Amino acid sequence: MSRTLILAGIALWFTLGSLLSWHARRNLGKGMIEYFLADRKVGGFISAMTYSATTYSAFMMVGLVGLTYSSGIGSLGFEMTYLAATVILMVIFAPRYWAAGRIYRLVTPSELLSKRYGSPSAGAVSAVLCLVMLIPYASVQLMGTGYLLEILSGGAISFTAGMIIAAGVSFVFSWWAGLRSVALTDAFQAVIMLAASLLLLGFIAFALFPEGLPGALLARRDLLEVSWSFPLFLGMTLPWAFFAVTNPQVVQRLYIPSSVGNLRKMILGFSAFGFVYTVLCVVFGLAAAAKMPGLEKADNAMAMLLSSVPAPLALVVFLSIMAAAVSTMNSIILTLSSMFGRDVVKALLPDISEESELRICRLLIPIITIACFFFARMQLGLIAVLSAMASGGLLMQLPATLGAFFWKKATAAGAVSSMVVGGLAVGFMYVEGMKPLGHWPPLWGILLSGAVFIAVSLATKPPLDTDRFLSSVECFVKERFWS
Amino acid sequence: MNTFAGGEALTRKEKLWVLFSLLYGIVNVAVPFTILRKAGSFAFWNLITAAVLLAGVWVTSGWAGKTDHEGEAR
Repeated sequence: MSRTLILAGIALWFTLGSLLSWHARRNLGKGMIEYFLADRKVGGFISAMTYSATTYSAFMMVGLVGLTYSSGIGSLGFEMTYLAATVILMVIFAPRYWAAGRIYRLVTPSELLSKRYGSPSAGAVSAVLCLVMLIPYASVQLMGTGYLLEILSGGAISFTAGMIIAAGVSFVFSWWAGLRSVALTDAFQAVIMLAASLLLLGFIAFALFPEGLPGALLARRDLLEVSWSFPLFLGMTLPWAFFAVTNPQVVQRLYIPSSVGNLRKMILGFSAFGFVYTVLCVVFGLAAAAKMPGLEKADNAMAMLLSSVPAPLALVVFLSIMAAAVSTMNSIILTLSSMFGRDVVKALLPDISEESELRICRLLIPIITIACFFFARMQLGLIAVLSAMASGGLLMQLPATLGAFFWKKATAAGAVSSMVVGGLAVGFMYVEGMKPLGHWPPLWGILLSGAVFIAVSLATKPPLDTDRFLSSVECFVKERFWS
Repeated sequence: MNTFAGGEALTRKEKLWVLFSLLYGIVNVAVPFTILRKAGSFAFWNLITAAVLLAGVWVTSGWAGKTDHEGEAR
């Protein structure tokens, strides 16, 4: 694909996104809740699309397609389990986060831990854990865009230039009007992601496989067998199954729908988007395996597939992958900046004004963007390890989160120690490449983290406000959702 | 003293949802890794996920009419 065509496509996409950001900025009010949660007044469709675009990154069209290409149908089980688990958790947890957010005027997911456990250190530890785990994950989004641009342009656009473009777009979309801008541009990008995938499916089905796509896929029976081992499936699936309550960029979105009805639309809209998008990406992986077997690097399957479609369609699909990367990255940057301001800076300087707090948070947006860029530029093997362990590391917040809503004896000391011990254990096992008894680090990490959480909580005293917190949230949930 | 808020905190519908989820969790892994290992997992994983998503539509149906725009609770 020519450099001019690619740059023209990016310019058009960026212009449309910027117009949406500009429109969002016209409605921007003052304060942290306004900037980071759009004043909790987001409609159902936009909530569903921003949740979807934030969740589904460039991994889907590059990583999942490659994984399916190389290992077959096990990847469908992995990704579908993630989707179903997310919906299951959202039905239980979304009303509680939504309620607690309104009752206690919460801005970040970690702030809920601080409030529930009566200790700013619980939120601060959670925020630091998220910063450590999510910066590498966001950096991988930049790297993916950089590599893809370099491959598709035949080297005319360098890896670094591609990353600068993606980082710049992410910065503009998130900094300009906070969540109002991110939510609108995410919705726009989610529509691009779905539309491009459907177009690609149409081309593959009718032009690449005129003899019939289902028949061609059935001919590769080896890919339709479950070739994954159970420990591999468990190790891959376990951290992602709890993504909905452990990844702050999606948890923060549970605060934003304007009403109970819109929260429901968010869950159902995400369900529909996730199902269609997952099936499409898996079919692309199977189609690539049927059409062009024997690729040396499975992650190149999508790039090779794009090389056999007309340039305008390839451009639209490429833009959809870039949109997926940018929509995930700008959401992470925005959430991390709010967490650093609210859960770290405000914990250290409790008397800081909201205006100063917001100024610090906004200053952090370019700083985190630049940090991600330099992290990605290093192209270290360590980045791959860190990004792989991101979901496993974030899983260590699960005991503290469950305890926050469902266990009266849970304490701040239990929450903090479970996150620290679990996070360090998972990090150590990933860096050392350890898989005791053949099982992946997140399994051992969550067992250890859960045991520490229970033991330390039982040995310490729960905060005095526990009953008040739990009953206020439960009453709100029962009255507004289930009555 | 009941130290778990869950028993009293979950509504009847939520408890049913949790039970359904546990059943899903077992079947979702047990079937493809045993009897459908050689063939049929593609359809199975699509169908069981669709079943969970449709169950989600049912279990949250009571939220649908609640379109009031809430301010902060005070």
